[in-house]
Parts: sequence; C-alpha cells; structure tokens
Amino acid sequence: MADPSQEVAFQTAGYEGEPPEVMGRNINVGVRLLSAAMVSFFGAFLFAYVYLKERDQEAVWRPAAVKVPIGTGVAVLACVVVSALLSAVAVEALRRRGEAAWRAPTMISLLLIYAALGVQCYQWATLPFGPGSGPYASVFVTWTGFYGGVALLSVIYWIQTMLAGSIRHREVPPGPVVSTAGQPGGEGALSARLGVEARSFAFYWYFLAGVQVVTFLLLYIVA
Amino acid sequence: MSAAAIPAAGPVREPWWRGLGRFNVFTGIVLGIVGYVIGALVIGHVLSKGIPAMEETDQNDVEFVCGLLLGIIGFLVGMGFMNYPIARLSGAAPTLREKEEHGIARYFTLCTDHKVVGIQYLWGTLFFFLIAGLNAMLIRTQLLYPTEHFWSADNYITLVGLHGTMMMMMTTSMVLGPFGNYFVPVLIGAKRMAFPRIEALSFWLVPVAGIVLLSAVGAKGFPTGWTGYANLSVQAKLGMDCYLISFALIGISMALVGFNMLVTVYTMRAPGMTWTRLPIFVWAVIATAFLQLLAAPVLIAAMSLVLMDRVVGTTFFMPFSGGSPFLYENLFWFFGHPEVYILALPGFGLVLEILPVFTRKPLWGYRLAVAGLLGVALLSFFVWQHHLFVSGINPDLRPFFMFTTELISIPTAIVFLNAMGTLWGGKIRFTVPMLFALAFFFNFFIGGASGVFLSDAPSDVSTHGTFFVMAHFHYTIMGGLVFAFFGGLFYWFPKMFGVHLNERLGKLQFWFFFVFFNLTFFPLFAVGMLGQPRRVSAYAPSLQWLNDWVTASAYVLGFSFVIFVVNVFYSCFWQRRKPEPNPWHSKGIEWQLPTPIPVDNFARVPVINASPYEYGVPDAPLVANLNPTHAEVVTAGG
Repeated sequence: MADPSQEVAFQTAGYEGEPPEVMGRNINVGVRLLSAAMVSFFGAFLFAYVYLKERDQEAVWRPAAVKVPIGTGVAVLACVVVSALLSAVAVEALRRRGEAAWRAPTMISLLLIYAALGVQCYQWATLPFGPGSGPYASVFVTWTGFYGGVALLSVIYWIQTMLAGSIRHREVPPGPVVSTAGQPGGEGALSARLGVEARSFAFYWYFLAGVQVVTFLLLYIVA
Repeated sequence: MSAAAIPAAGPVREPWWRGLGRFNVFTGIVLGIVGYVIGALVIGHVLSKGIPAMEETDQNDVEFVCGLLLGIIGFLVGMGFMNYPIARLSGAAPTLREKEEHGIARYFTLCTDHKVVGIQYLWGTLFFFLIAGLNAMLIRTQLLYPTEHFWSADNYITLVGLHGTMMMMMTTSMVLGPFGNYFVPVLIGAKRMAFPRIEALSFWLVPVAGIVLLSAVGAKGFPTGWTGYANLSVQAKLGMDCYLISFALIGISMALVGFNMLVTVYTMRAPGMTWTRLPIFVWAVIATAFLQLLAAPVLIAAMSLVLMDRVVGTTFFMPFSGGSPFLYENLFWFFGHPEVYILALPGFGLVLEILPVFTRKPLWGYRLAVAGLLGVALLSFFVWQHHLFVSGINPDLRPFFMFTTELISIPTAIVFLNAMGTLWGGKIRFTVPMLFALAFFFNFFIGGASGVFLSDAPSDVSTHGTFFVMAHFHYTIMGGLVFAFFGGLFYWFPKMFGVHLNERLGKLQFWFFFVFFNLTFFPLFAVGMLGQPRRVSAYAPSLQWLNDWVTASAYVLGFSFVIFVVNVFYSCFWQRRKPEPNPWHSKGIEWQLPTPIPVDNFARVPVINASPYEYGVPDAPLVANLNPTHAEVVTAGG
C-alpha cells in the first residue's frame, strides 16, 4: 500500500516543496535537448550510411544475396507510427476528459511499441544476411539494433512509468489542478504532473517516430 | 528541567561494517565483479559458441565485452542507480533526492547533493590525473635514450595510449565536473541541479571508465594511442575493448553533464538572474554543455561501430569488405575537435571569472566575451577535417577547412581581448589564483599561435604526426585547462572546504609548474620540427640531448604536483587556517553564503539584484538578496 504522505506529494504535484512548474519546465526543456542528442547519435549512422554507399567503388554496398526484409520493416514502421499518433490522441483525451480517458490509448500505444520490438527481434532472427555481408548489412544491423535497444526501450520505460503511476494512484481524489508548463490554467487544464509528462513524452515519441520514418526510407526503400 | 536542557537525541551510530551491505561503492564493486563473471563466463560463453573467430583463437572479444558490460551494470546496481527507476516502474511517486548518508560515507554513495558530486569529481579526476601523469613520467623515461631501454615498443605505445586517453577523459571533467557541479546551481541562485540523479550518474561513470581503461594493461594493451584509429583498432588485442567501452562511457557521462547543465541554467535561474547577469563562468559552461550534448553522442556511436566490427563482425572499417577507415576518422574528429573546446572553454570561463576579482575592475566587454565563447563553440563543429589533411582528404576541401580553422582564432582572440581589457588599469593583486589565470593566457597564446601552423595544409604536411603537434596541444590543454583548474581550485578551495590553501606553498607550486611546464614543452616544438614522430619510442640519436632536457624538466614538472599535495595536507591538517568569509573580497553570490554551503544552498530562493562584476562601481548593490519579500520576488519576475 502506498505511503499516504507520498500520495499527498503525488497529488499536489509539487516536488519536495517546489512549485510543480519547475519540474515541468525541466522535463519540457530536457526532452528537447535529449532529442537533439539523439539527432547527433543517429546522425552518425546516417553519415556512415551515406559515406559507405557513396564510396562504394567495388559495388559491394549491397550484394545481390542481401535481400531487404521489407515486410517486417513495414510492420515495425506501422506499429511505431500508429503508436506515436495514439500518444497524441492520449494527450488530447487527458486534456479533455481526464486521466482515466488517457489510460486506454496510452496502453494501446505501449502494446504497439512492444509489438514493434517483437517484430524487430523476429526480423533479426530471420534475417537472410549476416552483419558482415557488406556495408549495407552492417549499417542495417547496427542502426536497427540501436533504434530497438536505445529508442524503443527508452520509450517503453517512460510510458510504463506514467501508466504505473496513474494506475497505482487512481483511487486518490483529484488534487489541485494547475497549469502546464507555465501556461495559465483554465478550460482543459491538466493535472500538472501527468500533463507535463504526457506532453513531453508525446514530443519525444513523435521525434523518434520521425527517426523511424527516415530509417525506413533509407534502409528499406533507397537501400 | 526546561526543554532546552534536554539533550537532543542524536543519530544512533551503527558499527561501520553494517554500511557495507547498503548501496554504496563497496556493494558496487562486489556486484561489478559478480556481473563480470556472469557476463564473461556464462552469457559471453553462450553467445560466442559457434563463432570460429572467437572459438579458434585465444581472443574471445564476445566473452570479454559481455563481462565488461555486465560488470558495469552490476556496479551501477550496487551503487543503487536502479532503485529509483524500478520504483518508478511500479508506480512510485517521483522524488528528487535519495535517502542519503552523512559524513564521509556520502562521498562513496549515490548522492544527489550537487556539492557532494562536485567534490567527488574533484578527487576522482585528480586521482586519475595522477595516474595519467605517472604514465607521462614513464614515457619520458623511455625517451631518455634514442633506442629501446625500459619498455618494448608494444608496451610503450600502450603507455602512450593510456596516458593520452586517460588525460583526455579526465580533463574533460576537470573543470565542469568539480566547479560546474558545485558552483553552477549556486551561481544562478538555484537550490539544486535539474536532474540530481543524472548528475550523480554522470560522476560515477567516470571512475568506472577509468578502471575499465586501466584494465587494458591486463588485456595486452592497445596500439592506437588516444585516437583509436580503425582499422588498427579492429584488429587489436582485447585491451582495445577496454579503450572503446571506457571512452563510450565517458561520452555518455559528458552528454549527461551537458544535458543537465543546460536544463539547469535554462530553467532554474533565480528571479532577477537575467541572461546578462549570468556569471561568465556559467556562460562558458553553457557553451561547453552544448558541445558535450551534440558531440559526445557521435563519440558514443563511433566507439559502438568499432565494437560492432570487433564483436559482431560488421565491416564498417574493413576496406576489403567495403568499409572505410576514413569513416572512423571523420566520426572521431567530428567529436574530437569540439572536444578540444570542451576542454578549453571552461578554462576561459574560469579565468575570466577570476580576473575581475583580482583587478578590482568590472569584466571588460562582458557581452563580447559571451559572443566569443559561443562563437568558438559554434565554429568548433566546422573544423574537424583539418585533422585529415594528410589522410587523403579531397584536396578541394582543404581551403574551406583551413579557412574555418583559422576563423576560430577570431572569437578566441576576443576572449583574450576581454582579459587584457580587464587587466588594463586594474589594481592587480598577484595572488595564487591570479598567477594561474595570467599564466593561462601566456600558455594558451603559444598553443594558439602554434595551432596556425597545423591549420595550414602546407605546413601541416611537415608537422603532422610529430612532436610539434604534441607540444601544441599540451600548450592548449595543459597550459590552458590545467592552469585554469588550479586557479579555480585555489580560488574556490576556501568556499568548498573551509580551508585557505597556503599562499606561499601555492606560489612555490605555481612557479615550479609554470617554469618547468614551459621548459618541458617548448623544446618539443623544435623536436617536432626536426622530425621526431609521435608514439614511437626510438628516435634519431642527434635529438637525444633535447629529449633528455625535456625529460629532466618533466620530472621537475611532476614534482610541482607533489608541492600541491603537500600544500593540501599542510593546509587542511597542520595549518588549519580558517578563511575569512570572503577572503578575496569577491562580489560573487557564492561568497554571500555561509561556509560550508547548506544542503539546499539558499533558505529561500534569492532575488538577484546586480551583475557580479560591479567592482569599483559606487553604491553597487549586493548581487543577491537572500531574504526577499514576496513583492521583491514578483518584481524580479519570479
């Protein structure tokens, strides 16, 4: 059973005596900086892709035997994009109808991420080529590997913590409702903690879904 | 009996050994060892089955890397870094602080007090700095003779690699780690860093990286120097894995520091702390943090790609399979050149912070200095290809990168101009911090001027890969950053530890350090011009007298650090001179606070009234109002 004092802290959305806006601003700014760092990180893979493809003087970039697994690629992309769109639906539901309405689309969004990860693992297990089958194969395995291992797992962790907190504290009566990220409260104001976190999460997830779209275009279509 | 007379119940003291079972560095080491064993002998063994390259040779990279990775995870689990994330996964409420130890034990645990993290950084980086310095002494000992005497060529190159990598890894944190973590929240009027657990994690990754790197000695070393060039790195022995993992860990730590600093400064400034009132040191931290945030992920990616080539069998850098070693050079230097400024910019900020205090004048051209710092940071992303001038770069690209490299001297010169303008007509006090700050500019000028020869493709062709390059970067990094570090340390030591370091010993250390630094590294320009290559233990006999001179000077340079250690012990344990509350008569906000600074820094969030550089300005108000009324907070924009 949760500690009652923690419940109060949770509901008032203040972090140890600080106004809730402080943590809200931190998460908002932090998620944008995190996305910038991710651009640099995946930018290195993009550079490797372009560099090795353009320098391919001996035509070993993608030998004929290296078939692009387009079917599973489309499945991963679909799961990621739909999940990201659902996180937007969830934020809107939270804004209009409250926390309970936010949970259902968020859970479906989480399941879709798990599905994307599952399909990705299946793809790796059934790949018709190995990591050493040329530069394309190397970039493919590494890029999808880090996308699954860094991007998808970080999203799963974040969404699960929000859901777990929301479910565990669902019986607690609503506390003071405050503005999000310094915006004046009013119609559709969110609970500070979940509102800020859900919006920041949605931003991060749109961004990573964008990365997945670029990944798909380069690794599966342009190849 | 009055209530006041009742003795307060103090904390019950437990036997010391009970603490060993908690989440702390001891538990971390135990779980780290367990993790290594499970990773190497179980997981790695299973994963490497059926891979001929692993099974049929004496080098099983899969086992070794699995062991290292699981060992690192085990250490972090033992330190308690997984407790909060797991609690959050089960729906626990968010919190800012861990339940923390008191006294000296908190320095060996996950501590979310930014001042403790600053002190952890200080001693942690100094420890590894000492080891890397001893490596330098061993290198110089070898170079007493023009042929192999003390170490084999293999061992020599491993020593060079260990020295270079460890210095680059540790000096990255040398200013931002101790002074950034300790003072940035205080200087902006905040009670904490934005993400205290991330701050703690960024520190604890540093000693882990240091230990992993040192373990390369037991894994047959690595032959690449600090740059880790492929495809030599792909073919090297197990020690290379230590280099790759440790450098990647430092990359993660750097990115986390940059991330945390930027969020903190952006969101947690006190009311009235406008951008134009930020201390210049904080601006330098901002510029550095941007570089760390954007450049370090490329380093992590580069290290990962080499690791993939070694462990998984990808072909990024193997030319016969369509890969390219130039890919590594590009990725590495896209990080590597900003890294130079990650080292230099905090030093600039630190000395510009010190100068006004000891000239009793406002910082000359504050906004220009900010522009200079940000200009250096921005341009540093556009110069990396000058490291590839002799590697086969497209000749048509050379003029562009020559131009951008030389362009960066303009914002750098602006910072020099700020310093000279501040000194001009000032009432200079030649204290120890001031001496170090002045020496910074002398050394960095030589480093910067010699850099022009390396930025010009024609002269770079003859100096690249020689001791000339080595002299150049030691003048910028050691002559710049390390001098700034000692300036900052002498300046802030009374605030951090409540002890004033002995001035006489400090000056003795400074003069030994300054004179023998120059006697060590200036002749290396000549050695390089005469053609002695880096990373090679043998050289032309005609250069022996110059090398012997340098080695003898290097020993005395090393001795100057002994003076520092003696000074710390003498001042802390023998002299124990309590400093005045504001020994330098600084206007900085940190000197308005008591020593030691309380856990939350400020009883109430302060209101900032003025810039910290208004020296000589009649009726200048105190920088911060530490006990503001509600109306004052609202007026200041809080």
